[in-house]
Amino acid sequence: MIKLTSLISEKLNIPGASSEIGYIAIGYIPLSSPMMKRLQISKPIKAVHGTTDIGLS
Amino acid sequence: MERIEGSKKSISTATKWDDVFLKTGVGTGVYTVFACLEGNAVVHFDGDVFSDTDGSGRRWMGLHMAKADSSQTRAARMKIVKKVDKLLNSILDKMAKKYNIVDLTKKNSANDRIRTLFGGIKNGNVFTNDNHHLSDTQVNKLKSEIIKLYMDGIEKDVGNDLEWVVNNSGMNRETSGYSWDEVILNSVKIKKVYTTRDFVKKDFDKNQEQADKYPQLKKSKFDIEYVDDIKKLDSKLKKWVK
Repeated sequence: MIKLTSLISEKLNIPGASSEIGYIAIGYIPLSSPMMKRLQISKPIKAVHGTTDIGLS
Repeated sequence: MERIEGSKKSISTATKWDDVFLKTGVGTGVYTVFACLEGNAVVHFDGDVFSDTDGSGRRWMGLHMAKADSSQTRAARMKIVKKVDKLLNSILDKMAKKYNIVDLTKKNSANDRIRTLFGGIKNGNVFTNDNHHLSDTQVNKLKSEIIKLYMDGIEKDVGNDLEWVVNNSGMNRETSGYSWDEVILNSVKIKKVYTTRDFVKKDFDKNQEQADKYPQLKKSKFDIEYVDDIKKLDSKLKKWVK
């Protein structure tokens, strides 16, 4: 079996780890809407996002 | 942030926090900007799960963020990890057979097989057992196939475990110092922006040098307010999410 935990700890050594295919390679779970819809927990809320970058351009 | 507004792309947010949040931001480093958002909560974790997006905007989380603090949670997490292992192995087997890819036979270690396949895709060099390499078109087709197989497989094999993952993942807010929840939000609307960066204040004061340096502030459609005190900021943000 693939040792997912060891792969995760070596994430940065896997080519393209931050790409779609890279996350699959290390067995990450997609949190995309289709996956989460089945939980039926989607609801409107107010929240806060913090960032280092003004990012408004 | 502006590009996310109104799109289906998701953003990691918080609704509960203590001072650490204001000192570090969510998943970033040193705070400077806090946006008050309205949106649709796709999923809500009690603690930070360090979710991240890939180039296409899809968001991911690692199963290592699921709890393993008791024999029950360890067993539950391992059960899901094994399902994902099995799925990845089945994808490797299918792709090895279909594309005759070198070094994907079971005699190689699973981790080497992963590196061979995914590294090859990343570099555009996927070699076959008859000393050829796949064309760019074939590599793209292979990549699309893997993504589809994985997405379908996760939904089919792990879909019923999702509720457990959501309810049992995230840094322990009491012991880790990562003391905020993580709410994945989409259909986001930015209602107000607070910043602790003094250049914004200078910009508001019509400091020409700063205005020239950060022209985006001049063009910004957002309501930006400089706050020079963490307690005031905390109070304003908590009032927003209340």
